[in-house]
Amino acid sequence: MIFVTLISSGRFSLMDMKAVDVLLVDEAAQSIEAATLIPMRFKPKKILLVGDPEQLPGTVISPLLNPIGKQSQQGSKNYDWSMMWRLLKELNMPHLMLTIQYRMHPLICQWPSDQYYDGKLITGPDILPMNLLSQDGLARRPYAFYSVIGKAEKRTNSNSVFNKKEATYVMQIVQHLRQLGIQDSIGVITPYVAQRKVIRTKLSQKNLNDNIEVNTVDAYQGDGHAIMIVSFVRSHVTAFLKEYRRLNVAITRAKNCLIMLGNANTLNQYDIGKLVANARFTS
Amino acid sequence: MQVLAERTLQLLPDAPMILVGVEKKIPEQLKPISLTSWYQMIATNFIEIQNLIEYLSSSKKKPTTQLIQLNLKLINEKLNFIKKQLEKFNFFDANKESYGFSKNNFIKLYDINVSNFKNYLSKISAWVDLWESKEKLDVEAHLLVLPQ
Repeated sequence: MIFVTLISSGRFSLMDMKAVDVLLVDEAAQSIEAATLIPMRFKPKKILLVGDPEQLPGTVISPLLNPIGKQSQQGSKNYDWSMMWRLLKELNMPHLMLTIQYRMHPLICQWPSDQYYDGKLITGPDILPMNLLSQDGLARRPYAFYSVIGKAEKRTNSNSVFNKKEATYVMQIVQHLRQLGIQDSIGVITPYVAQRKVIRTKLSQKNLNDNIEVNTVDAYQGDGHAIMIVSFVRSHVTAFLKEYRRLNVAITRAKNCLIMLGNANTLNQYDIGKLVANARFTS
Repeated sequence: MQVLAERTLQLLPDAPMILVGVEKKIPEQLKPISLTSWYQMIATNFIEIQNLIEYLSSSKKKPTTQLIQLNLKLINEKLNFIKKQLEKFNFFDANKESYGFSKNNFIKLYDINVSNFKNYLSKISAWVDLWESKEKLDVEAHLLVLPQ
């Protein structure tokens, strides 16, 4: 067995490697096609692509190659397509869907399952006895949306936005949960690097850094916590949030409790709006 | 990738497996399966053989038969260790002469006796160079020396 990243599989030090029987590419939906081609140099007899095309695609930084959210309108070169996306979504190739998930409480899993996976997701038997955090107040429900009418701001020389009011609410929620005696791991997820910084600062000022991870959606893929707090930041749906796969990642990181913050009045379009409505209904 | 490697190593501790990556980013528990560490381990064994032969061939005082036999035994042990490693981690194409894995080449290394110390030393030195150079054979290293 050889463990290697797609890019490292192009190393000269592997140039005399024997042909391999099986090439297994993990997180294949998150790698661009060109990267997936590199290990083909090992002449595999069989290739298994494992991944979730309903979650984030490969990261493409160049705006020329992938202006976020504009690829379909402008007919870009689809550079962020993964080989998995092309085979499954564009060419409708037969595939096997792994339907058992081992992270979320079934009630948290339900909405993304219905919305993105045709209701096919099943919760693994190890997760089924999982309890919701049944304390009074904030963590009482599997998931909840709190409408915060804040202002999205930008710093000079930066395109990344932050929302101080939302960040303050995030800090207060964390504080409240800890005061309730809930010591479970908490994750805070936001689409913007600037907001991540503001939230980290506010938590730090209140000495609330223990057992908490604050990160962007893109950094969170594949990871999760007992309690997840999502800070949407924007009061309108931007191209960044129209990307349903990003939203799917954001809301599927929680194990026991999912708390979302944003402006409910204006987040009424696209998938986020449907989720907000569903959260209200569930409440 | 490190998570996958770590879990597989826990599940199948005796299975031949190699982890390829930037050495400084590989955690301590995965160092035993790191490709660079593996190259270094083979190179170190060749260097030790080299040192043993150098000692025997350059010693001003003629070594005793007992000392020669002891050193030859050590050399054979090290060669056997290297051979087992090459057989276990049989990922590379032994037919590629450029890579130095050819079985014929390796068998010649067992052909050591008092009369051919010096020839043998040059052969071993070539292998040491070959193995020490392997960890440098990566894309990044080449990119560093390319003109802008």
